[in-house]
Amino acid sequence: MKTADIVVVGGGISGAATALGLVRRGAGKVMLLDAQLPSQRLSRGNFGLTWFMCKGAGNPSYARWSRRAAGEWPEFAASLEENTGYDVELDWTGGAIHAFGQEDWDGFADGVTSLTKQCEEHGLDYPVKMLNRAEFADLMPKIELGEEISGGMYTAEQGHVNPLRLLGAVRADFQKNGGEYYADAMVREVSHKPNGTVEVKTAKETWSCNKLVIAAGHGSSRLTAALGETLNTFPQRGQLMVTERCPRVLDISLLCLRQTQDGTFMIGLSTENTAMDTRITAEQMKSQAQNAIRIFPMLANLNWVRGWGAIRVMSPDGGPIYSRVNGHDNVFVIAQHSGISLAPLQTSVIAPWILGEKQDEQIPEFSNCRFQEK
Amino acid sequence: MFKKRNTKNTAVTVTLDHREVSLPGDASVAAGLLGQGEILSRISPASGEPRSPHCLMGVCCECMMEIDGVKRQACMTSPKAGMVINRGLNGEEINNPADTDELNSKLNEENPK
Amino acid sequence: MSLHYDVIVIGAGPAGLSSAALLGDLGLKVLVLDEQEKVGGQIYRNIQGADEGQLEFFGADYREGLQLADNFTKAPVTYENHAQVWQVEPEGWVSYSRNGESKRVRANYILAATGAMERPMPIPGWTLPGVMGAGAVNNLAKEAGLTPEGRVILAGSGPLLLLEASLLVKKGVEIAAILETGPMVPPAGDFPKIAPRLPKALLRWDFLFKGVGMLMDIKKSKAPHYKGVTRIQARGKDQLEHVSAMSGDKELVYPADMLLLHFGVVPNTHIYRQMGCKMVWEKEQRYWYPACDKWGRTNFERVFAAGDGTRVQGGLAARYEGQLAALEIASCLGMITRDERDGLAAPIHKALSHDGLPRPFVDSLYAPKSQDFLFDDDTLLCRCENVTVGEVRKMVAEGVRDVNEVKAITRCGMGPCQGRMCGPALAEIVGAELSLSPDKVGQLNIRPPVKLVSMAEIAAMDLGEGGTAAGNWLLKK
Repeated sequence: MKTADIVVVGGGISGAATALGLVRRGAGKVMLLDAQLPSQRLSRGNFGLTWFMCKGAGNPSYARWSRRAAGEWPEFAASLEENTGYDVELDWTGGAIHAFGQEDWDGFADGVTSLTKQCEEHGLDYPVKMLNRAEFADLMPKIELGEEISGGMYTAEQGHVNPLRLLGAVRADFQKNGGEYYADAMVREVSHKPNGTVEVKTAKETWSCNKLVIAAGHGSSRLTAALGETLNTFPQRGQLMVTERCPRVLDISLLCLRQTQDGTFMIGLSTENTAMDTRITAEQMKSQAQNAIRIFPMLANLNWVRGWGAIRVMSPDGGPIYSRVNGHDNVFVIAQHSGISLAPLQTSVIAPWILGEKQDEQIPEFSNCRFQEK
Repeated sequence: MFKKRNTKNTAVTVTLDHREVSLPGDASVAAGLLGQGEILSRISPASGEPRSPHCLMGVCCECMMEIDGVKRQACMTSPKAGMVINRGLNGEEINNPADTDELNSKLNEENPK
Repeated sequence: MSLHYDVIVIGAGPAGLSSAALLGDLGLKVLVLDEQEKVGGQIYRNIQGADEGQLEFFGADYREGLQLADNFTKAPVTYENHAQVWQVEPEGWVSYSRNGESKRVRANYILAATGAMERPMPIPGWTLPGVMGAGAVNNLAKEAGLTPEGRVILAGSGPLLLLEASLLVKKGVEIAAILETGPMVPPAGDFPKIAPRLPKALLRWDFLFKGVGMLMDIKKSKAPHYKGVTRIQARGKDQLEHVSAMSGDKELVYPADMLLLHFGVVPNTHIYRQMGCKMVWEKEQRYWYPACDKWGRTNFERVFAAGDGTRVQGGLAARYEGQLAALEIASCLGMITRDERDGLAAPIHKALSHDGLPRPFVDSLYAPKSQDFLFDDDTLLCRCENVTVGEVRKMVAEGVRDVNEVKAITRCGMGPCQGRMCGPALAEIVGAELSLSPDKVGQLNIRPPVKLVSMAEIAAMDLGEGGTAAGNWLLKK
């Protein structure tokens, strides 16, 4: 039996960024257990936006949380590069959502107005504005805009990143700070011992720890259920496409389309209920290609190189879940989609909460129990 | 690099990097170009290095060239009269909207239709 | 014209040709999709366009394809050339691109016979212009009548390397050197495995005789021929200029215009993996292939595999496997009875056995060894995305255990070839770092499209019967 101060189950971005926060704060011996399952790597399916815009309509807590996360991104990326040499390719170039035609535009304008108001009511700014077509085109001078685009919404205070490099960087930084990472550790069982420690069993080892953090994507609900709590998440598929490389002409990200620093265009915006099926569909690929060409006609002649699906960890209100498991004060669960956007807060806010150093006032807003009341 | 045996090929005229060349009609574009001593197929986007066809069977993707506006495997493409092939060997950016108009007008100048 | 077929055959090499002809002759509605201009796959490339000189030169093994191709041409099947299949759904849908248009068609059964490829082996400088596969040169000879000029070096291992060398010798090509990585004599430790296979091999003295003849042609040419060679490197600035290698302690350096690499043949498995077929690791030859029953049926009831895409056994075996798959499919579709199927299959099984007699022996002589896959850190591994062996090793040092995770962080395998050229060596390298066999570090997930398709083509794609229209925010063109 091995011992640790804290075991984090799940080596995707949520678990890894949390674990990084723990070791940066000198949490003692921290283990990060990862199964690297071929099917469930949600972190590998993320689009790469580091956004707050449009998040949390009707959910002021989430709007605020997203805004805070976006704001911490530049420093988060810089610290990772400084510590590990990994360039996570953060482009802090703003973000925009295009409107087709006047009706779309008006709808967006209403949305911006209402979210701005909602944020104001909660003491938060929402630096998003509506742009007409000419202003929108000015954001992306090197690429021709589709003729139906009437303008759209825009903010300067967000960006996009390489989510895959990010994962490498976070885990590298974690290990540099003394964390131990096990990539082939499938956790089968967790149980609470009478002396208050938690026992974690994998195929090869048993660990005993003082605190347990469950951040295992779709594998989390099985573990929380064993401790008597139902995790309120459900699977929701998103499909993505990527093109071949092309000289860089677009550095600002759109909601469903961005050009990476490698020059490939990533395209994706779909939500489907397919349980755990990650396959892509011809219908969605066709639809996304049509949409992309409508936005930027030049994409028509680029080759589509890969399509893939990933299964989001979705909650009933779309916000994250940060909870202590009922009756197990030293067991924590983290469940969220948009883990990339929210990564900085795992390190700066969630980690100190787990350590008992500081409970941020927003954390209770994301309890797993909030759904039961309704 | 290659010598060719005499066969009864029909020749096809295509545009290669803005100049006219004649390719054998019944071999792939990649094979035809190699047969004329055109060894390079592209500049690799990730490394910036010149590449030549490697597998000649549709696996390696080193023979990707812009053929009639879209990058295709030249070893899987048969030449057709009037085909426009750009390899981008001189660093001119293909698939770049800013350049495409320039290229098009240049082509129209050289080959008035 | 309805887009629903009884069988879609993917690939018009020997397995595709034989199966399609048989299925068509038995009265089934067959669509054959092949990405090349002409039928024949690799081994019978351009068989229908070859003149007597070509047929004579490439010998009986090539000429055999003529009858096969003619039978196919006469068979009542639909054949589409330049058709690149980019997605197969095992429920029976095939998406493919042809002449700038993509469509999705339906079949009751699918037979994927996508053949094999040369084992990609990264050596320093392998991306230099002038470095090609030995098979590539064979393809150029058959398709376009091209013969290498200048100083040619052949390097690698396996009987096909020597076959290509003998063909080049026959053409009068100046072979500057032949650099074989295999030892002069198999190591003593291998004898217990190899020796018992010899008696069976001797039953095919014709096969062995051919091999000996080949070796004699090479010897007569007086081309320097080294065995047990290591550290093969291609050197040059923008193009190949010379090749270096080690023969024991001796350093070999040869100025060269062309370096032809060949390290054996492995199945081209992308289509099977994209579908989600169960794959089997062939331990001795170190490659993956789709698991099949004796008829070629994969784990998907209505998906079959035949030819070198399953296990690499050559052109004749591919033809026989194609026929066996066709017989089973025909019986499942009720065109022949089980008894008929078995009756027709019996001589094919026999021929297949007979053809396979020397194979285990030859395979074991040329089996790749793990030490063949020792690479320097700065050797380029992923040609598409410019990822070195060292970057992969760094990932393993940072705790990564699965090749998909290596791919995600380094981009190795993310380029257009989707890991065809780097996948095998990637697994060898990660396995070696972890002291695990390459089959224990995962397989790269293969996703559609397995062949490149333009965005415009996808946007305009015909989804086939039952395909739902795309979302309601479409551009009406």
